[in-house]
Amino acid sequence: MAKKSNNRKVKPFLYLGFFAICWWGIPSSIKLFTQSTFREFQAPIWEISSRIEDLSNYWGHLSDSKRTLITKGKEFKRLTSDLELQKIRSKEIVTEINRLQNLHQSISRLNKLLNINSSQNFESVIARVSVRKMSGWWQQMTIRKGYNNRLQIGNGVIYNKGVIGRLINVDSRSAEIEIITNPNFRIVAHFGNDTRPVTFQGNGIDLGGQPYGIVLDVPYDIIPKKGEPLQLITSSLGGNFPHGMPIGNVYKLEGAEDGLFKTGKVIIDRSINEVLEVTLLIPE
Amino acid sequence: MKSQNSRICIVILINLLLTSLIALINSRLSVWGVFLYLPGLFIILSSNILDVKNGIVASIITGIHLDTLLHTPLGFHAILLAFIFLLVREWQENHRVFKTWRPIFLQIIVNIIFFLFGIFGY
Repeated sequence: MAKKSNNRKVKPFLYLGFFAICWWGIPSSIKLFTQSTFREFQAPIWEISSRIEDLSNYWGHLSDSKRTLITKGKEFKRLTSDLELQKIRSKEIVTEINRLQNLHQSISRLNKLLNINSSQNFESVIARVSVRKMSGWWQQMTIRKGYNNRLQIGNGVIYNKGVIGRLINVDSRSAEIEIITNPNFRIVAHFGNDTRPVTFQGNGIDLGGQPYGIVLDVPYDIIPKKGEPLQLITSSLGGNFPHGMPIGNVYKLEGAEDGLFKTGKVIIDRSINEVLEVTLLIPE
Repeated sequence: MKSQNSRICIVILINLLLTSLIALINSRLSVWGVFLYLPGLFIILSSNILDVKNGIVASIITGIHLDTLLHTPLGFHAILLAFIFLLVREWQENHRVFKTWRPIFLQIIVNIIFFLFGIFGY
């Protein structure tokens, strides 16, 4: 009787073990398909919640008090007068644009003469963030645009403070961004006034919410001064980002284990945790 | 049988809703660098109202949903949730006397197990 009861208890574990073995042996294409199906199923939830949030903001402003409306009216008037000033300035800017265009043309001509590829151009697409997943181990964001908007895996993503990550999954109407703090994120970078390439790798988010990464392969002659951090910027060598987008600041560099290069902690702007809108860079 | 079928549907729906709500809360909490990782929440309801077969199915579906959401290897949460569901059910059958602290205690233990698996797995 006891043996029968034990068999009844053990059976589900055996079945689960069998399932686990079968699961391990399932072709990765089927797993990818399952994952993609679940992602497509989840996408509308994030989109709806994000749209509800936008709508609630809109309704919130609809019920603004008279005092708020008067303040907003004043601000609007100030902006209008500023706009008039900007219109006057626009003539100067047009002249400046012409000068820069001439310079750009001459640079392209010189590049052609020297047989150098001109820097890659990107088309920018703006997308709203629907959900942020910022755990200590992995960091991702979901946006409300997908391959219907010509997005592709690997596209670089930036925001007003610099680089934010790159696309790792693209579905029809949503896509996932791997944030620069994610340990799997690795790109070529440069220091502000140095042309030599270094490697940037994400390293997570501290308990207090401070995002950070690490910089590797830094030449020994690069030394940050006290109170003057070195700015780490993107390199065009990777192909996903244009040259010069800010990544973060390095305050201290230490000798790496190999003794040939230095390594250091990269402090990334905290606003990365609260981004609502991002720009996707699609190579032209 | 019919009652079990409707129960599993309700449990799966509740679990999916709960997962989505936690993800949305996490999206807000990310500003302070806080992340709620609570897979233990999905064990108690299943172990209380579902039989072994349906419980495993519900755990696997919820687990795959979590795997997709958290970018863990597909099957990690699915199989671990199903395994822990079986352990919890077994434990509940051996300790039939209800005590208020038990579900809370169980959830904490399950969350710690997942957390440790997460640390050593990555």
